Amino acid sequence: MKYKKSRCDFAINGGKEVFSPDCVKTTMNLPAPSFNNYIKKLLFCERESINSIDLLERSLAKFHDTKYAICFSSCFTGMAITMRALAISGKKEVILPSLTYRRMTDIILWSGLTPKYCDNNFTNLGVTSLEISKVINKDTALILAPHPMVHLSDIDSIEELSINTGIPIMFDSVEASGGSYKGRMLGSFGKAESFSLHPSKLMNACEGGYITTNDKNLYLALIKMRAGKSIEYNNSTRQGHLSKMNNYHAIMALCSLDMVQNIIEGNKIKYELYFKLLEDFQGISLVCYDRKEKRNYKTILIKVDEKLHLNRDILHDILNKENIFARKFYYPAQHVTHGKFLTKNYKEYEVACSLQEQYLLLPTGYSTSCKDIEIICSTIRQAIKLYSA
Amino acid sequence: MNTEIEKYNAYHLPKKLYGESETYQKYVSTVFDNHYFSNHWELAKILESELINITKIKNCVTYMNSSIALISSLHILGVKTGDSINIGRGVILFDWIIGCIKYLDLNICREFDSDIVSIVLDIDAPCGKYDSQYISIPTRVHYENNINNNCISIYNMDRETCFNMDTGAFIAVNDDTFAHKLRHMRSSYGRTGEVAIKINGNGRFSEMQAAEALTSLETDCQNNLSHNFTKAVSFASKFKYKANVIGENYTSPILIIKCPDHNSLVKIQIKLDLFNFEHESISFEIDKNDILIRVPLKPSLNDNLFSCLLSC
Repeated sequence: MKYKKSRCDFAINGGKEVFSPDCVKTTMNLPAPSFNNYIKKLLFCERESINSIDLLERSLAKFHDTKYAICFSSCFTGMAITMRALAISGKKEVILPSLTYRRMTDIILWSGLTPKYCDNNFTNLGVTSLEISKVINKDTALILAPHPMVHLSDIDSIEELSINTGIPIMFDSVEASGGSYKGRMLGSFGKAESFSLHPSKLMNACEGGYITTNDKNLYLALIKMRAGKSIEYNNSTRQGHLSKMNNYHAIMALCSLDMVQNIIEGNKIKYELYFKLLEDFQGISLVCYDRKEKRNYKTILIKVDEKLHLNRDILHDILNKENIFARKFYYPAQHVTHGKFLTKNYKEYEVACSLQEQYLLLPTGYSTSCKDIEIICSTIRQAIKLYSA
Repeated sequence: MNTEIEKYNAYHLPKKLYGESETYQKYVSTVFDNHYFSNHWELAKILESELINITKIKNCVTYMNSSIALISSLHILGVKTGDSINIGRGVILFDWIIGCIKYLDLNICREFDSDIVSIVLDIDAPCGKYDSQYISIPTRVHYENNINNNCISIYNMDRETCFNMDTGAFIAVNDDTFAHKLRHMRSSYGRTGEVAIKINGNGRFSEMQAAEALTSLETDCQNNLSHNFTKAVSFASKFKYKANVIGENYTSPILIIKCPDHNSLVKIQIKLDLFNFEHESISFEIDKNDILIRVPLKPSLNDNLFSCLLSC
């Protein structure tokens, strides 16, 4: 292990990096089957004339314990088309928390709707009915509630709000895939839930995404919209665009689904190691998964105490120079990057502004071994010690 | 319900898969060795270079599918809901193009006006006959294209084309700035990168798609070209009007039929609708005293379908 004994030893000050440039450590999960398993699955589908997308959809519905799963070319297009289907006719605004996946505003715009940001919740880092209800107005077409990394948004209160107001709700469950809430698998909450099959997520299809729902009418609508057709849904015409999943991607996803429990177990081993190594860190705390529920353990999120001399941004820069590609949590908030959709001023997003300065994602997944995690934690420990002095 | 779903699931019927193909396995093993699966890596870069060699167009930007390629291109051109786009008279549109136009809630105008964005469905190779930027959606690739900087050509690479892919597309454009924006929009960095695009997208073309396309280029493409050229000559010999085959320099050949009397056009249009021929993208062009009917010869245009056309 290459210990840093002084500030000069850090790469940011000209020292040697702890990981070489061809061996960078990233936060991406990157799970993959072996080449042989992929070809085996491909030959199986070919020999048995199996429609791989159909098989994948049935398998995903079973995994999430839902009636239907509909695969798309990407999670982006799947979400955009589903939002277009679900939005209340004649209304345009989609409510979402400001601090969330950086592409969420683009997805809403791609669907032809307009984002309306609410503040985040300080405890779950996502959103509850309290923040959402503050921005509901007569033009609200849909509530988009993303589950943040590690935690879940407040499903019960948001579903209740949806029932009381009649505004449909869609959960973005990309980061929470494989998880459960009160013992029930995520996938059947709200009107629909979205999941990604990008390599950086729990399951890897190379590219792709899917929507789960128990609503038969929505399922039929999405099948047609995915084929580029227009449909009559909730008293108005909704137009889709061609966005079917690639068959080879579906085969890759099937392989990933076969090994998903192993992926989660591997993630958990790395999470537990971080948990142990970061336990006594002054000023750093690991955001912990709810052990009573199923979780995917694919994200390592730490909170950097604002009182530390070494703030989150400096720690981020130090680690990046060491080829430890830590990432700022959802930074920057979308009310900052998409300012033209602001209604009043930044004060409405006090919590989002605070959260976006405190959290950091650490490497895990395919690129990061347990030995690497020890080096990463040691580097963080030394950085805090030497920079806080 | 089942019939209804099956109708739309038809889009999912897998084409010939490449499980046994040594060429495919060679490319896919590279993907697994690299452990990089998503956007624009080793194989996608090789493919784009190969496409540039074929088309002789400066930039060939691969995209996830043709719908996203078209919608992204329209966004980059600044098209907004309610805008009009020009589509040449006589151009019969594919379903997926109509879907994109409706998705963006655009108006279709059939008279050319330089002030509005044009879409040209070029059966033949795209050419530089328009003064402002326009989108061309050719049904085949000409091996020696020579187009001007105004043309944005979107090539579908799915199984209805010589590329015989499950899904995929590429956009050929000489304009470097436009290509730069396309790349940013494809990989989702439009807003956060150095290129500002009003609306961003996601058109990532995976390494697995690149493996499929490269296999297709090495195997199916040449076979299809040869097979379709033979078919075109055979069809031409059966036709009672004068028919020519243009083929050698295209990824799939084209049959051009000259009709000597204009009344035939009306009859043929009605019959074509009955047979739902728009999927075959047959187009008409009035050339002085003749009417040219251009018939693209795709794998799905079989003898029976062609007999229907002849009977018109």
